[in-house]
Amino acid sequence: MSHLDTGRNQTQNSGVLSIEPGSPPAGLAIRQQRRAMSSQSEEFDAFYHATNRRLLHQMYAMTGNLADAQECVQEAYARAWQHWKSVQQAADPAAWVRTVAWRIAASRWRKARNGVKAFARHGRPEHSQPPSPDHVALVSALRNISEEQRRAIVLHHLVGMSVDEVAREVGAPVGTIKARLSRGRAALAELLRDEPVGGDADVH
Amino acid sequence: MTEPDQLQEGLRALESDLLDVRLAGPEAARRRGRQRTRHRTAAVVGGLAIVAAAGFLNPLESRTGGEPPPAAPATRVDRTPATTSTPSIPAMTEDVLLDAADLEPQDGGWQATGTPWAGQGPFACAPGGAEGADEAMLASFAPAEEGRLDQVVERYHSPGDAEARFDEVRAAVAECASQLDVATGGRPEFWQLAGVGDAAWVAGYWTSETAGEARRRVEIGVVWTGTAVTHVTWGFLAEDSIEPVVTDATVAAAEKLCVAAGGACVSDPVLEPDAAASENAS
Repeated sequence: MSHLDTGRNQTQNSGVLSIEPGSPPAGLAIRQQRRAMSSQSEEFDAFYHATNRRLLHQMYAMTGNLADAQECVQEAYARAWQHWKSVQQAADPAAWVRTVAWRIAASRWRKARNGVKAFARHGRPEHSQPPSPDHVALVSALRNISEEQRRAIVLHHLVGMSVDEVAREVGAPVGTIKARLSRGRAALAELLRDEPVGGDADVH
Repeated sequence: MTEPDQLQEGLRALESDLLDVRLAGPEAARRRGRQRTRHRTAAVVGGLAIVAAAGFLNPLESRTGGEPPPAAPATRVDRTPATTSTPSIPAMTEDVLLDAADLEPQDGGWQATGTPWAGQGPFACAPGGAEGADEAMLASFAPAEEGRLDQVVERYHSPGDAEARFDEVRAAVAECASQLDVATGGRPEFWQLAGVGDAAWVAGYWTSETAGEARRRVEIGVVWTGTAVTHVTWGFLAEDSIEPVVTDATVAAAEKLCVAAGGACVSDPVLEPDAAASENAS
């Protein structure tokens, strides 16, 4: 036990956990802790199963790349588990994972633009059926508009969030979101009208 | 595909591309989460230091050279003020402070540090103690990897005094972090933490301190409850701002404070963006 002389109103604390009379024995405390951890794992697993398909779909549209979406979403879930107590307390835990997945993707795009290794790919997902030409055209067009326009469009038109809600999640003014939606839609319309089906440009 | 309905339909239809795609599953995510570490450098360990001294800690000073000094405006947050429903602390004991076990959910390997922290906050824009407090206590901790976390608890004569201090800390951190933003190119994040104490607020920002590819990230939580204010400052090196701010320690600090006062003041904490502070910062 050390004393720290501050000159006034001195207090002390040993930093050593003392066992109070009546405290549960250590073995019981450990078992209780394990039960709590097990319960947390079950809650996390249920959350994962309930949300992963929807979030993968949303991130696929946001990134325009299925392998990237898989990687970002899985990594975001890993980070959610790391902070599960906080994430559970969030108003919308799925929005937390989506935001983190987006930030992971955006961070990697920035690094890619700066010449740093981009996504660590673990092989592209295999399709028993190739995507339809319409899907290829839409994904291609999405990849050719700006990241922020794409994010706003997916949140508004796919996730179904209002403009105000998009503004809150993105952290941008409502007017900015309206402009991104408007310009993004116009750009998509132009791209889908002009570009040949299947045309692609890997902007990231 | 130009009309909103068509666009919505097209986006929804992309789901069929995922039919044969499976993520690795929750167990793999939990395993990766456990293995994953922030990019931190040297390990820091130690004992526990507590300072109890009204007037000992200087208010709101910045320690890091070259960082903008914190301003100390005292604008008030919009809320229903002054009448508190949370318990007030008659006199403080060490029960009001966090201990290492309280921090376990927020990464692992926390230990109390023996290094006294006196006079100034440990990182740029971190709040110090207040001269106007009747009583103040401090605890400092370090995780197994690089970083540190400091908690200050201050007790005031009245809830109104504590509320004013809460507003002072919040405004000073927001203004200071916004100046840092200009220097570092990152955007500070400000949040209201509903359901905690009479009011709670959280900030996350970057300082100009670097180590290789990593930069210093600071996350601060401030809670006002009854006649007390507690603030928790966590600084660590990281490469990017991926996660929103972590509130575990702030919530735990509020819980300890209220339990020590013989009551409870945490129910369903929810983070909500502090639009006003963000607007002022931009």
